Amino acid sequence: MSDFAPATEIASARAALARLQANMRLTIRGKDDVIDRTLVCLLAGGHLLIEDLPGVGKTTLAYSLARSMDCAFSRIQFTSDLLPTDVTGVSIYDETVKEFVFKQGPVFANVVLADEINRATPKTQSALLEVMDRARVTVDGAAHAVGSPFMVVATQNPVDYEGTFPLPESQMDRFLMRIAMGYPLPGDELEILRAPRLGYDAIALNAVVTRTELLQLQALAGRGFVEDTVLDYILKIVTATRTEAEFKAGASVRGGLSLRIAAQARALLLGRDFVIPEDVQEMVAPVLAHRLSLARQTSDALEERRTVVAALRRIVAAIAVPE
Amino acid sequence: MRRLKWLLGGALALVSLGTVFFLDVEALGLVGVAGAVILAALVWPRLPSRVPALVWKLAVPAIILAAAADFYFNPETLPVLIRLAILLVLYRATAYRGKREDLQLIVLGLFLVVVAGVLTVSLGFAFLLLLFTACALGFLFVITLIGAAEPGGVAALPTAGEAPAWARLGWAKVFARLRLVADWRLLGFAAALFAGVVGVSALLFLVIPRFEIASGFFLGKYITRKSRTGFTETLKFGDVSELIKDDSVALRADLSDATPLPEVPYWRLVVLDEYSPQGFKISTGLKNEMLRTQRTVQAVRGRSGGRRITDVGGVWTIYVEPGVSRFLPLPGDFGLLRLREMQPVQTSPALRLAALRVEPLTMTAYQLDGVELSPTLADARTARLLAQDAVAPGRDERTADPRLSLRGPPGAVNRAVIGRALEEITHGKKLAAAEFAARATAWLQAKHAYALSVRLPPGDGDDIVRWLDSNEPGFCEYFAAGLTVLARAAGHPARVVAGFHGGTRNAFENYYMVKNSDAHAWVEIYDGRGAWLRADPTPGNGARPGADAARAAQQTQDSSWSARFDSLRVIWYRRIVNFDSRQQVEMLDQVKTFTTDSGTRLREVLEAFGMKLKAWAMAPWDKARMVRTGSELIIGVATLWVLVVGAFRFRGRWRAWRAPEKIDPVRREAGEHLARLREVNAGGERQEARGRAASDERRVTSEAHGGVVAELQRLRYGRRETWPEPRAVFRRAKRARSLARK
Repeated sequence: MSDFAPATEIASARAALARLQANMRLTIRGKDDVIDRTLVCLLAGGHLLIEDLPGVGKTTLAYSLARSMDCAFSRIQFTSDLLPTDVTGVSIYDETVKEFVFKQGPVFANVVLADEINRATPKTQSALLEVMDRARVTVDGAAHAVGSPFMVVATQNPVDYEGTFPLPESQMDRFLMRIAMGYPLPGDELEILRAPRLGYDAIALNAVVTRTELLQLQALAGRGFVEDTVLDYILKIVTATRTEAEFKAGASVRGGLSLRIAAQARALLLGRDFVIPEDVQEMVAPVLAHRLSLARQTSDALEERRTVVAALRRIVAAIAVPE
Repeated sequence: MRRLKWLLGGALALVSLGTVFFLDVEALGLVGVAGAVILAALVWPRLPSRVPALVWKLAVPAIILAAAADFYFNPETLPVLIRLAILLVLYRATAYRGKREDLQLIVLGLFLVVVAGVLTVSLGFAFLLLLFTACALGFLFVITLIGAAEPGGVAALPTAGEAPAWARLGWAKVFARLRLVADWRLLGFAAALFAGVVGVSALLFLVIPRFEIASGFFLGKYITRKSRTGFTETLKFGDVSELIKDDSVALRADLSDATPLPEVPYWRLVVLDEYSPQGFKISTGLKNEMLRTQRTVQAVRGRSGGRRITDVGGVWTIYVEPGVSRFLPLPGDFGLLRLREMQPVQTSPALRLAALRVEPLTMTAYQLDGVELSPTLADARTARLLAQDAVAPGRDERTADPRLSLRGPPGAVNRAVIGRALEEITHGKKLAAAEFAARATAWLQAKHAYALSVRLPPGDGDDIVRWLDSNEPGFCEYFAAGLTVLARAAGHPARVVAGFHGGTRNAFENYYMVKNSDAHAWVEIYDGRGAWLRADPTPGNGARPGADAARAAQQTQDSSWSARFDSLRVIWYRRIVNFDSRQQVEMLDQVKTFTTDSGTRLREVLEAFGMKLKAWAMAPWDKARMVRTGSELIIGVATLWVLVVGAFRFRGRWRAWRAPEKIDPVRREAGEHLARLREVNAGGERQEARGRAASDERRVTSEAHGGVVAELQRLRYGRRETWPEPRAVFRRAKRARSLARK
């Protein structure tokens, strides 16, 4: 395969992505930027953490994403008594063949919705860890590959901390992005209210992208060209987070890599086969914010989110854009 | 970054507080407390957040009240202002600051520094000023950086209750981060900036004519006096030994001749001729006599010429520290004494004394030439005066009365003791003055040892008589006073002389440092034949000329670090002290004539040019002239064109040279086009619709020339293989730009 994609390939990718966007807009009203970010995460082959208050469409977003693709979808509702085997699957003795067979858990799908992920015990949370990182499950020494493409869409409520286990930083780092939904605009909300049916049954979407197409898109996104000065720009931003006094620690190397791949994916989403600095700027907050924690205590989680994003915005504004 | 700012701000405040030490404004306690508090806040930046909010709220009214009260009780403006400034610096340096507060801190610090600088012209101050400059430069730089990092918004000041994030960081972490971001280019730039500022100030300092700044101000009285009380007109027992405890330098003698002096000079300051039970003092007559000689002069002639002299040391330039005395220390006979400027001087040729009218507040400098170090002092007048009748009590005390130098302690008790002592010394014989001095010195030294503290035995007589009668040790004043009393009783006119004896030679520059601890008192005895002989009865001092010479030969050289530092001060003095005020006037004149001359010359040139132009315009036009003018015009325009094009080329090269990263020229040009297009668009957008939250790129692409932007972006950031033809794109970009401008 040649290193760069011909223009026709880019054009067809753009068309496929436009179909996806249009399809998702049918259920997620007035949240084009959230859809775009979700698609960027999908293209970059990363996992998504959606964080917002209950009932603003987190699950609907994940659901409509999965339904728009010709992919296997499963949903795990995390609770405090959920066991790791409930996620990954378990080996059970099969009387007929007289041996242990591996019974796949819900994680064996292409899009896995991990709902209320912070409600599960750390043990169960970490069961997801290997899957998210390596896209495979190891049970009894045998590795079982999960679906490909594989994407975990986790949701959590940042405000209600009663009886939850906040995700450790190591696990936070494994999510490519964290996004918030936010309330829809009044006009859009009115339209939602007018909708005749309620619930997930109402989501009747047709798949518009096949699994193979999706894999091709992901490969294409990874080949987006990043010019040296833009790479340097990414490096400067990541380094600046490490010297900022507000943060307890700076962004990791994985954070820098994630920023690059996210910028590449955004470029592809906008029909480009090269990254411009604006791609990087747009991706800084969703990609880096959840990897950074403040050096001081804040009154609540939302306050911390806001402060981190403000600090990141300051850092980006202070670094010269490569012209 | 903010932590660095905090650090620099604190340092700035400390330095400016430090300058207050040079002033004499009774604020040293305040400065000490303020300095300690600032230092504490500097080291533990979290401290200010621990202070209750109420304190911060009350601080400003409290400062205002304190200043008002201060002003009410002290009519003098300056100390009040300085105390107010100290309080404000304290407040500003310990509270968390925004940009405005930072600038206030700099201004406050500057106020203190400038006030201190105007009032004292000293080396230590120059050093502090240097520190202040460095701090202020760094501080301003950091403020600017922070300002640049936070565009638009002024960060809200943290409320008193919580410490900002940067204050929580450990120092180790701060320095680690500093090291991380420190860049040799940045450091080099800072160093160059600092060197530039210092260089320019040094240049200004060397170039501008020197003026006596301090003397022009009424503020002289606030200048601090560092040494203890110096020599005045009375010398109570204990005064000199009090001085001896002070180790600071009292005077420096800068000799133009580098050969070592043959002996350690006795620096004569005051001659005390009248006995009083507490000590010796200058008689009213002598004072009046000196007062009558007061003239406002710049130079004083010492000895009258004609006599063959053996002068030593060449030209002596003497720098006397403030607070030593109004009397000028003189090492002996001199030819001419030159001061820096015209000022009232009192002299006594007979006593070889010179004094200023008041005690100087700054360093005093004067020059001596033809200096003679001699143990005898010729005096023709004393014999004549002694021959006159006894002093009538109540006679007008307009002149010094040498008969006073025969008066000792009155009263029978005293006389009995002194008579007994004289009997032991002279055995009833009448001795010559020199012989008597030697014997009396021997007698004194046999009976008394040297010590810095004296316990006087109880008794009836005067202090000095009781001491003479005892076996107690004493110090130079006792020995000198004792010898004087004895000599007077034996019929030799005698007087106590106080000054300095000793000093060390600075190993780095050729000059002598005489410290306050070299203070000394000795005796002069009249030999009856027109000369006063110096006698030094104190043990260990110049009674033996041989030993003295030996000591002088291996004159103590000081090569310690403090001497090195002290030599800097002399270099500084040599620079700022100028004995020729004509030079200043000349320089001023030069500057003045230069400016006026250049002005008139410029006007002349302009006028001449105007005449030429007029003549040219009046001249008749013919064909040949038109052709000539036309061709000249064309050539001129062509040259200009070539120059402009060349300048553009050069600019390109210069930029390429300045940006040594390997950035492709096509990419760079595309980037420039992009930036310009964005500017144009931004301008247009601002006019059309405000507050549209579209991102840059979308906004640009939504324009009609979106295609050009995409192509430019591809050229700038895209893969080289996918590039469109660059020149065509650039041309289109130019067109799009001009279109967008319309």
